[in-house]
Amino acid sequence: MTTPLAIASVIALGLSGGFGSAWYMLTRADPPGAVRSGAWIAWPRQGAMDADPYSRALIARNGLLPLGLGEGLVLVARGDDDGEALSAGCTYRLSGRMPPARAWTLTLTDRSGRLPLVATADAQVPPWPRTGFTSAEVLRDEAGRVSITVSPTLVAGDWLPAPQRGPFQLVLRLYDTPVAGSATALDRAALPAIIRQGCG
Amino acid sequence: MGGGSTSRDGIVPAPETSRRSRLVASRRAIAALALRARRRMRFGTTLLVLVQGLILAGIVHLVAVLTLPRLGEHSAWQRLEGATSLNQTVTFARPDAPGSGEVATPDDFGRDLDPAATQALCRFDLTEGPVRVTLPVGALPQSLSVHGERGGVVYAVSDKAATRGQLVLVLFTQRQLDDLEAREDVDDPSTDLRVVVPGARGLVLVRALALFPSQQAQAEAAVAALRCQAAPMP
Repeated sequence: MTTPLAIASVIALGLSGGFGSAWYMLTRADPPGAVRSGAWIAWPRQGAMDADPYSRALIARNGLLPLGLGEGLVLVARGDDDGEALSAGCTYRLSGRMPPARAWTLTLTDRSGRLPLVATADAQVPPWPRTGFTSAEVLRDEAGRVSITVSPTLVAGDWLPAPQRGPFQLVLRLYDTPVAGSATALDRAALPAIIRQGCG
Repeated sequence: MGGGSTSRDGIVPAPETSRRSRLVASRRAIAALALRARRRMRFGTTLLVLVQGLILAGIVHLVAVLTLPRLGEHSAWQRLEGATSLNQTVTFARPDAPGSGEVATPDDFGRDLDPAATQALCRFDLTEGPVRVTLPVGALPQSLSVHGERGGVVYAVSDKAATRGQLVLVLFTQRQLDDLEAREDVDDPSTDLRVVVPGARGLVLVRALALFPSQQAQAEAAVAALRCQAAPMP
């Protein structure tokens, strides 16, 4: 290989590899520092002053306003307890106790964080179809457990309409919670289970 | 080849033919050696190119990730720079949240915000001096956070830290705080919550949760009470 060709190859490889991998890390991959517990993932360091460079770049690029550690913690579930991705045609039951927090909200969004078009007609006109639950709205059994069903068809009890299409995610925001400070020890038992009950 | 034969036959060739055949044989040997050498060198050069390319890729990757926050104009502070003035309180909700039509939403914003929450923010710049932030707290869960100009949380606190029904924060640069502490009377300490903001610019964000949709109006009023005022050094 001649020297000019070699130099050109090195530069081409370096630039494309470097920018390509940086682009991938910032747009496709999840930021580092993820803490998992069952189906739930959290990135507690995003709300801290010493976030890693990838998180900082993500926040700067997308104009994000993450929840600080003193405000709460955000947990995301993209799959059920078996690891299967949450998909629109299936029925899931989210049950169990919620971690201790002053208040929490559960929101169903698509994978990019947008509220989905739900599978009921007239999704653009109020009254809005429900896109989530808050800790004040949900029913609890005698042991304090919640039971929320996500499905395309109406069920009795706490029901979240499934989106029209595509994989979705559930975003649980815990406000004013002791879990935010010690998220490395997210207790599996403290987060609700997500169990798929059937598809189609 | 004529009458020539190679030495493999074991026959000693005649002098003229042997020289020609020796020449041919030596040329072939040289050609074979050169081919082997070229192959080895090509492989060596390719490997070198790959290794150097990977090292350069690593450097480019690091530089890209580290400088992206400095180069882009996409952080929350920067997106709002044209739409809001300093120390002005702006109330907004997620653009796609139910009922968010009544509240102004800056463009291209709010993908990570809670649809059940209403927010207000004010941008600040500490180069002219410290800024005092006040927020009356009420019945709804509220929280206050300070974000840097390039994004990232500098400070966050819930309304539990409120004293006498108000959350009061004073934002300083490190230099201003050192200056103030040097001149202060140690026997009469201030009770303000003091926050140092690395980089003089950022925004203060207050969130109020409307746990029932009927609390939305109350949440909007609660966050609109955020006040950011310049508090010049005495």
